[in-house]
Amino acid sequence: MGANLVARRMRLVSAKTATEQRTIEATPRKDFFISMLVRDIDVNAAIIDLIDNSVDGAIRCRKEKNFNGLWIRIEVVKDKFVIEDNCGGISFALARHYAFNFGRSPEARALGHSVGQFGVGMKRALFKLGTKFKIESAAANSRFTVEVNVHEWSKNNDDWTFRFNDDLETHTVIPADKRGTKITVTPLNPVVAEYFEDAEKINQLVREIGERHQISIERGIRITFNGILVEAQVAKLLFSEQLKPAYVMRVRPRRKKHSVVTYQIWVGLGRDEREDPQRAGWYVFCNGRMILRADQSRSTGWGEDDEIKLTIPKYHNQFKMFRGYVMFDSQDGSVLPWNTTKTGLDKESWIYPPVKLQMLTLMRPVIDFLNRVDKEENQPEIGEAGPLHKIIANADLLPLSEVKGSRRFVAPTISPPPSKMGVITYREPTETIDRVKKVLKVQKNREVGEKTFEYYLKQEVE
Amino acid sequence: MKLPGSWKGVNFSIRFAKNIERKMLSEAFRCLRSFGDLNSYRYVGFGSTFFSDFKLFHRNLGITEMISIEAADEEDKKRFSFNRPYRCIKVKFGLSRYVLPTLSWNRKTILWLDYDYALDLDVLADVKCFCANAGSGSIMVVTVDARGHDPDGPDDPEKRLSWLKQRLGEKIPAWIRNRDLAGWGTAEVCRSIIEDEVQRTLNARNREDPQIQYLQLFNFEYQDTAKMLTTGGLLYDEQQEELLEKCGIKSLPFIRTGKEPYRIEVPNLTLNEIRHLDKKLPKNVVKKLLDCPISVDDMKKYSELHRYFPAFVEAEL
Repeated sequence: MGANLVARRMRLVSAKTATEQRTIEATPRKDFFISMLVRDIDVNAAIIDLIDNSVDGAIRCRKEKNFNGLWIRIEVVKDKFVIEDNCGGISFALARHYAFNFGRSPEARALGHSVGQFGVGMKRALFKLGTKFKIESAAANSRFTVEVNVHEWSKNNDDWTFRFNDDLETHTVIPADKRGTKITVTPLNPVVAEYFEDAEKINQLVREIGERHQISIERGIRITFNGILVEAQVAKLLFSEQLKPAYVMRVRPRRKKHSVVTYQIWVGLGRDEREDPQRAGWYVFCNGRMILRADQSRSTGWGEDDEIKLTIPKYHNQFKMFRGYVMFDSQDGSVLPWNTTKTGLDKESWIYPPVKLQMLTLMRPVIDFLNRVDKEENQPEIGEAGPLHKIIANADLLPLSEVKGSRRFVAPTISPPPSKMGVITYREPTETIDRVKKVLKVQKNREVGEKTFEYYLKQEVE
Repeated sequence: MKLPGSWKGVNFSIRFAKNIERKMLSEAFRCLRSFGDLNSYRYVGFGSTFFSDFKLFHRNLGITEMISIEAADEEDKKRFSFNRPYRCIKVKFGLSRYVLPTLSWNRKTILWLDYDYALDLDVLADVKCFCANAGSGSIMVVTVDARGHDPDGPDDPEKRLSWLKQRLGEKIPAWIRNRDLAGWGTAEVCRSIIEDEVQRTLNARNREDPQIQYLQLFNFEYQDTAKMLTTGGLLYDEQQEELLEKCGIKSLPFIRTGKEPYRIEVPNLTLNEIRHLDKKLPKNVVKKLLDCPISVDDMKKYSELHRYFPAFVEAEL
């Protein structure tokens, strides 16, 4: 062997080692992957994510979006969580190529108006809830079972597959009423088991399901939690001839750079029995699923300094009647502004910033009106009997679908008359007042004053 | 609630620089004809009780849809309505940040936010509202007090920045120091903050709409009493780029598209001197009039402004 050849070989070898030296290991570890995924989601969001899967089934099998006759049942007993539906099931192909993949391939994106988007929801939810799960599904032409022991699965870092059980059927015919999916998780993670023992948390969960899936429930799907029927918390706004919410509907983009998104915005006033300030704010929906609830933060335009310029505290109780609803809809859900847990906005998406500008423009007149209402409230001689309060009291609370919105929020511009009212005060023994109260059938001293004055006015003056 | 109050103290129509600025703006607006019949434009401003801008733009440009925004209390409302010079002016009562969002924005608009106080977040909210809603071919003009200190207090050079921060918070670029606010410095800082707000809003808006651009046209600085800044510009889209070049607006001598201001400096001349100078204009007066008792500096200033120069005389009507 000539010296030249040896030298050349040596160079080749060292070049190879150099390439190897320049390689950095970055393969994800399963246990890291799982722990990272579940940290970002809370139990409610995880369960609602599993409901998303069932709703997507409903969307697949009922293209016309009438969900009558479909149901989703959630049962939690001790250490076991079960969610079962009759929403058409997951087909063998869908399971094999999409449902169990982490992440969505580009060609899977356009799953008509679906709620599942990121290829992470169902798996993450199951990892969150427990350490073993079983998925049984029957679709039109297939039936399968997948069982996963998360501990076992996470041990082998080289194998990123799941296996169908032996009862797999791929060429069969299953009648429509037998199609559906059942997911069982047991044992549950200790924190999750504890969670389900807390009655208050379950109430909150049921309520949240009713809010976040209000549109699917309205379309006819029945969701039950341990036998309790989840009621839709339907979005409603005050409406009358004098008080009209703003409504805008747009289709975007105008240029064909992105998939088409339709969005609708309603802004106006709401009312609930408890006058709960926690209900005020913006509600955002993507493909029928509520992702943001009663938001009072900067991301929807409220602010400590800029945007709408509400003084700190950024949200004040005088705005407790404020309600704004934004509904995005697209065949291609990947363009909608949701985050992966569907509990917030992706503020950097192309569609959200321009929509937010419109939200700002539409909400400011409502804030102005509520400020005037507040001013009226703070005038003792007018108080809640003022003209603006009367207008609010006389308006009807209507579901969004029945609200005939106008392009801008319509409200009377009357300001409370500042100095035309006088105040009368006088003192009487409590005993006497109480006797008059009985006759007048009223509760408050103030009412005694008003009623007796009215009586005198009518009898002696007019 | 803050009520703009300077109308009570000053008769707007006799402020020289303001008067000149108004006429220059009118000349610039005239160039908008290329973008559409001026009849199709709407003018929105703060007319006060004098409506000087409304009168000028109605007469000079033929604009017939006009809205004046006034934050007035009940007593003053009658006075504002009473003083409307033309039927076509609608007065809307309320703060501009509440009134602007209630307007429909499907019409090309000339908006003059002519504040008599310093830049603050409310002003920027109005700027944002315009840029979020106005169509291409619309013009916005913003005038603010550019003194850089509390008008009711002394001017402490060390406190200018903290005063501005109270009004504008995070909108002030981090590199600004007190020394940047000396002299006309506050005006330049305010101009750049307004421009940033415009750009930020358009960036958000342009994610879906046709690409709307902003071209700053105005960067006036003047001082009738307090230092004032007037900035603003045109919203236009791609198809209008050619119109913009052809309409001649850019070649007007007072147009400023960058940070370099056009300062309106009004020479103090008698009517006699004005008449004398006028006869020699628009040729280069400086050379020919070296024998005249007016300083070269004043002559230069006057020759630049003479077409817009107001003459005030006392008159019995």
